Amino acid sequence: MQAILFFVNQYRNFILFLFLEAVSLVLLISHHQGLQPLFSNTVTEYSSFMLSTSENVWEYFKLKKVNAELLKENEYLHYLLTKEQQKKNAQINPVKDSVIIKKYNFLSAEVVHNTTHRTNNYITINKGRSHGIKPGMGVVGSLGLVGRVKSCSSNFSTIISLLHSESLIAVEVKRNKIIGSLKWDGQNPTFAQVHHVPSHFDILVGDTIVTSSYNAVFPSGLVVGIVEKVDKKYDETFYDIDIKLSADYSSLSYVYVVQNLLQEEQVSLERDTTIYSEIPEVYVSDARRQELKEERERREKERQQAIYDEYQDLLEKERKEEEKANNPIDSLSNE
Amino acid sequence: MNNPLVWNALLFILYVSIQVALFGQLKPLLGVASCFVYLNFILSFPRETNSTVLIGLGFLIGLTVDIFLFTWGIHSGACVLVAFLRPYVLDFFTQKEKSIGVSAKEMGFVNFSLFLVLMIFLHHNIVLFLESGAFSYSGLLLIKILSSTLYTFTIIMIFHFLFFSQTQKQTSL
Repeated sequence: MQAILFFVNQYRNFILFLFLEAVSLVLLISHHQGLQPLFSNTVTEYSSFMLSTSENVWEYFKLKKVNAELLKENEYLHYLLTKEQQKKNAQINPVKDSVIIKKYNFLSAEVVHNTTHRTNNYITINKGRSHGIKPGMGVVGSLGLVGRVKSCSSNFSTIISLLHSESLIAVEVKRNKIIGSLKWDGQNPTFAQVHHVPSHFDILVGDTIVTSSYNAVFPSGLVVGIVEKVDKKYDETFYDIDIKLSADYSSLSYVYVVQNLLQEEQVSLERDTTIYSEIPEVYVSDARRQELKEERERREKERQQAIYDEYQDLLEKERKEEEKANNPIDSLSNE
Repeated sequence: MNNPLVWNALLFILYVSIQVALFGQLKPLLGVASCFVYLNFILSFPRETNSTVLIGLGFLIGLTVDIFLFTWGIHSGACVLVAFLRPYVLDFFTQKEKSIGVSAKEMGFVNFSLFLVLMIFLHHNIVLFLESGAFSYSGLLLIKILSSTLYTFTIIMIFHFLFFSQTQKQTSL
């Protein structure tokens, strides 16, 4: 025992060192698998508050640039407005369905913390669950796509940036609608790669890459970037395409969270078709399915109750008749 | 100010806020070099400080910085290693003379700089390697590490000559 104590005392520094390194390693690994411990949400709330305070000060130095960005965006919005107006004038609109037209809501938020120099970059914004943001929503900037919401506390949300080793986004070439998937290789924050474009299509340097309609998160046709380099190895079936991203990730100040009003419907429909592939004709929403289930259970319960009541009545009747037979005098006197 | 506990706690808060609010918000210099000046908190403790306390403090400041930079475990791990190795490296640079303090005046400028560069290089190696996803040791990563080491070293040297040269204020716990 004494020997053990002596040993521990002599090497206490080394033991402490190993212990703390192990703690750090556990923290690191649990973070990398995305299993952030529960307490990190609380900590994020406080540290985000601190960061937003420091951001408040830094914001004054960015005002000029932000103004320039807003002006540019306003220009674009004016352009869109006039375009719509003209379309209306020309009477070439298809049938209007208000649900489809108002499908996407945009919610502006301020960037509180942002990195671009890591392999996995996250962005923190100053709006959260109490403003209606939910994990999984898309986020766009004034110049292009930004990422997806990862987790929300009540007043802050963290976003997986497009500059993240695990983000994957469905895109298409604007000119000829060829689809591919966008991924960042972790090197340069101004470039990203488009994968899975078969090499028999023609892709040109300078083609615009936009989001495709094959996702429930982003509006289709949102500009992502411009093709900078097209490379085709001798014996490969897919192109290696480098695109220059249109958004400048190092100077994000304001972003817009995309709320797709039909996202739940689309996603659950897609899920249903993969799970219940034998009955694909009828679409039943989760809420409706729950309703039906409750209805069925209620009816079953009622049926059982009815049978039970009937049975009790029968028993009661039998008991009374028995009593009558046993005590004819009692029954007579009662009458 | 005479209470070493209060003084060190103030220094702790100061280093973390400088690291998070100033250097955390600045873009990397030339796109590659980032500064982790808070490391000076561990490096500038006097020689006679209890090594166990130093390792604990290293973990604490690393974890605090981790919380603010969303890099769970990276900075704390690197700081614990630096705090653990510091006494041995100091012994090496001062020929085991315990009376010599940790400053350019007492160690000599060359020895002191070498000591700083070695410790900073070690720390940045671990931090930047883990931050880049621990895939491989590419050339870009090496440039990042070397330039960041130079950057941090310069800032720490400026700190040293501004605040620590006249009197050795940071006393042991």
